[in-house]
Amino acid sequence: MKARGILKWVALFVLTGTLGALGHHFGGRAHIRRKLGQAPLANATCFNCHFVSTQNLPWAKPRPHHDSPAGLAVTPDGKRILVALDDRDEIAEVDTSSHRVLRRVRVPGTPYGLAMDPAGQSLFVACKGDDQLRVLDPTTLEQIGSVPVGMGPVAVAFSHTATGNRLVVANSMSDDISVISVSPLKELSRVEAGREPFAVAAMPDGTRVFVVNRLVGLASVKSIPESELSVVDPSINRVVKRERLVSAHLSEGVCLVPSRSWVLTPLVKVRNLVPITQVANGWVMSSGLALSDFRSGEIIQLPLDEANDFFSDPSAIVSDRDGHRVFVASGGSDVVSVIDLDRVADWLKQATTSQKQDAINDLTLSSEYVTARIHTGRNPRQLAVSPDGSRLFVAERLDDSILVVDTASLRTLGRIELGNGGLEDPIRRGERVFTSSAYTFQHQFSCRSCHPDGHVDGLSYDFDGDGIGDNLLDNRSLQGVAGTGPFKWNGKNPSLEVQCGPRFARVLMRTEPFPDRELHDLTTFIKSLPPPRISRNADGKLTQAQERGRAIFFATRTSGGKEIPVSNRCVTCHAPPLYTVRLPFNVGTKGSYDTTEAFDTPHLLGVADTAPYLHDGRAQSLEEIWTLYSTNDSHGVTSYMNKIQLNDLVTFLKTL
Amino acid sequence: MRFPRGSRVAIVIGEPQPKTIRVLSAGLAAAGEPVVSCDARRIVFAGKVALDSDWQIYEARPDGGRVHPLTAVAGGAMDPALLSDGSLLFVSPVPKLGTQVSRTGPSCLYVQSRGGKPNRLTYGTSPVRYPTVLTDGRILFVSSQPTATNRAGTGLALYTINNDGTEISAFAGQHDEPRSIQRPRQLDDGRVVFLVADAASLEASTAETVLSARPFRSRALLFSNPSGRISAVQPTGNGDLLVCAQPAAGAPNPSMAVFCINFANSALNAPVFNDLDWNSIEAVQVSAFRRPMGRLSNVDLSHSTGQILCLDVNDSSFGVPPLGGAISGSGIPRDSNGSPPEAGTPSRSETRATRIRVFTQSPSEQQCVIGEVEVQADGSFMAEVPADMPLGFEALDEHGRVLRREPAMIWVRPGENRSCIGCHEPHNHSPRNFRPLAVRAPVPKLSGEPTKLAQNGN
Repeated sequence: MKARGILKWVALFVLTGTLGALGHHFGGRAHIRRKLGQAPLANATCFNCHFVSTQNLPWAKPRPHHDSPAGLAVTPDGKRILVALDDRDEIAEVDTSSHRVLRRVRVPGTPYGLAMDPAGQSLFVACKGDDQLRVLDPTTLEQIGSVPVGMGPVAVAFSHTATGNRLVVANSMSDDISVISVSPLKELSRVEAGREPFAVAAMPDGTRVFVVNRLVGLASVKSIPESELSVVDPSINRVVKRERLVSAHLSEGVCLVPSRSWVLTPLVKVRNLVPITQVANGWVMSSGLALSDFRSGEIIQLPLDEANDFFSDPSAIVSDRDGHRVFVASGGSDVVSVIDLDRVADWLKQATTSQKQDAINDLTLSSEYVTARIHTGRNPRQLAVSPDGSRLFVAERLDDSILVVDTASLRTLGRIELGNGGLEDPIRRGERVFTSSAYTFQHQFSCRSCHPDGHVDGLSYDFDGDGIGDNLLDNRSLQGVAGTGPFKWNGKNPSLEVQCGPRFARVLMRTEPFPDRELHDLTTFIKSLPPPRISRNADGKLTQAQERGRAIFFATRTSGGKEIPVSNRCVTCHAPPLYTVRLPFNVGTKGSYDTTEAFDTPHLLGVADTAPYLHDGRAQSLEEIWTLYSTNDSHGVTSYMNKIQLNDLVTFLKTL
Repeated sequence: MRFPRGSRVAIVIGEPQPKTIRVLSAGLAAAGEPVVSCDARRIVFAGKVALDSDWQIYEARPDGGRVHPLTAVAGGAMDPALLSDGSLLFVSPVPKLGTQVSRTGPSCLYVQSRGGKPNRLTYGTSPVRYPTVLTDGRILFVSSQPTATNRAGTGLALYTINNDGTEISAFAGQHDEPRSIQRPRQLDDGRVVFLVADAASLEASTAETVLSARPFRSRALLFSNPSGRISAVQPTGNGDLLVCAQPAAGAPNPSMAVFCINFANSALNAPVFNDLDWNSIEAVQVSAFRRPMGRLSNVDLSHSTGQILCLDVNDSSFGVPPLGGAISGSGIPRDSNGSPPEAGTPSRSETRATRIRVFTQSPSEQQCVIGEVEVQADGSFMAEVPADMPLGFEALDEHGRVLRREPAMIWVRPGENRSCIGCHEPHNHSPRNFRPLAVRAPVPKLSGEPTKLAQNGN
């Protein structure tokens, strides 16, 4: 009896399997062909369109939190340093003599950037997670005020102006700058910045505040990219000048130099328009420093790298008390470079205009003024100098510590331990791999150099794996990428492990592949990155325009009543919840040098924040996809839409 | 020859006074050039079984065991080095004593994986010597630029290639006073040290360094007060240097001894090994050190060509045409002394190149044109060129006159995409960021049979 029962179940299993296989082969493929309408379908399965959920994706699950130091603020008496712990929603107070953490207080909203007023009476905290500027009593660390600002505030500076005390806040995600009066605590204006304003420095006389922007502005993919140094007059709450940093981006720090008319900004000098036939000699990118003289208006870019060694991902910068030296943290190389500004001034005096223009490309020049390289823990990202100038504090973000350096001898005085480094967490280990340039030839760049915070740099590159030619490829965000494989614009890499594997080492790193363990950690980290946070209504509901756009996105008929072919509906290829069916399609964008006409369908989670668009980045905005590049219904049926309908569709897309 | 009859490779065990000396090259008529692997488990060196036989590369274990040959190359093999994956580098053929170039052609660099066959890495026209592996994985070696004034291989300088022979590049010394340099090594502080020999005797006497941060502008003596002849400088991996040098005058033992010095103290103090029975020419510490970076090869052997992209042939900091005097459209350029124009003469930027002539050079120094390509309006050009042969370039103006000339000293490996900023571009420079016109046009293929290049327009 028992054997007969088993036999019955086995037969049922075999029958079901056979029918399933045959059904998939004949009915299923016909279904897929009918639905999608175009080749290639070789890899399509039921799971491309059905049974997709975001709930089990790594980024949707809880992850460990760490004591990663972000912003630093030293009290005017130099006895305490306050540290923003954004991943913990805390501020730590540290005794600078004993290097001991005195206390930690909870500050909600992902506290990131810190500043104090000169008297040390208020601590200002830019909370990038809930878009608030909070004011704490630096003695009690209790909140004494808060004000809503733009989205993603990451840096704040105090400015004493003729019209009163002001705070200037860089709102990294809404691409604007908040100017706030201190008393009463109120946002006076929100002015347009460049793309991703990220650091702020105020002149002591209150006449100017300088804001650097991390990403280049949107422009033609084949034009020379430029990022912006926004100059704000805080007394009139306006941007009074927009300086251009040519072929430069990823600026995460800015400082003024006492006794000089210089604004200094670390930068990544990018060479994305040149085919990547090599990485030697900074062919893809190099690190530098923009020197903007606000008296003469001259901007000079100086190299930080050396001829045969690179110091990647320069982020924070801080001047010593007298303005003779600045310190620059290179997060990818675990180094703080010491720059002698007197030597810089000497070089500038004798340099010709041509030499100044070409300075950033001369990799030997840094030895004229870089006088030391201080080795640090993992991923130094923020710096502070004690008020008396004797000590340099280096936030070692991925070591959960702060290095204390004697500025005279450049020797290490000790280390402030905020946490244990979190090495038991594979996501943390993977972030270390992601941010380290140790794996690339001569330490030229890290994954983060093109994917700041796992996101986009807004640029297109020309890889030579398919030959040298006019085939640029848009750099795609890694945020929310888990579950959206295959990867690459041609959809040839089935997994992130393959994507980041040997081909990547051959084409970009120009070294050997990541070791297996590091590769596993790296992909674990990448999969943990959630999609970009998008601005939505407080109640979570769509506006009327967004609702209309939603109806268009899911429409089966045009507004004139004509049926839209299933294969050419938005939702067919961009099916929720990931808004991709993870198959390549021909949307009519093949360029003359592209080797394929079908490109991977990108997911649309956070698409508002991932410009430019299309495989080569030719569309600077979502609107341009249909108004300039897919005007013949090759990318969904859109020709029936009027301007308002297209705006509605775009408005809806920006809520995903 | 640096390693005369009876020279041996021996391992000295025990400090401070040596307790044991064991000869690793037992059974060989001569041996030298020991190199230790990064895990300190292998020692490779050059040796010859008889005085009239060729040099070959041998391997020994520090802890004993039989010495066995790694190469059996016609023409001989010398100058061993080890890549990060354990593959052997060596130079072949080995010129006979007192000559610079072997009868079978200039010495080239080869790589041989463990148990594999040798694969050639260099394709220049000048001899290659003294390879060593930098921490970034590149191979540093000594060679020279082939010019009309430098055919004998003097004016040696340092060059690098990747571990697959791609990206031949000048590293240092190309514009210095022509002297013979030998045995470069990367120090633990990033400097590169090399020995400088008198051009007449070819016997090294001093050690000089360049900074890797600016190798073309930092040449300096390793020791501020050199006291005697130096035959080898070797980093230990822990910040010290092993130096083989002649003790100061008046020392009881005048033979070469081994000194261990610290970077901070650059003077030769008491030797760590100074035995009357031994004349210590080279010393290498047998200890593990940081493995150099590896690299996946970009060579695609299914190709027989590579591609060259020049961003702007008119971007030149060195090369210029001879001023005045017409040059025949098909001739090798000559200056008033009958020599090709060299780096260092003033620029003549008003004359722009309109075409590029690509030529190669045979071992007999016969130069042959491979073809010509048009220069784009922005000065850029691209060309698909034959792989694995020396390539030279001439920038021509609209009248066919040669404006600048790069001798046949670079090559591309199969499938390699090679780029340069300009014609005689400044060293250690990054390109400016722009989209060259050449990448928008079809790539001209210059893979036909080379034709003989006429001399002086004839």
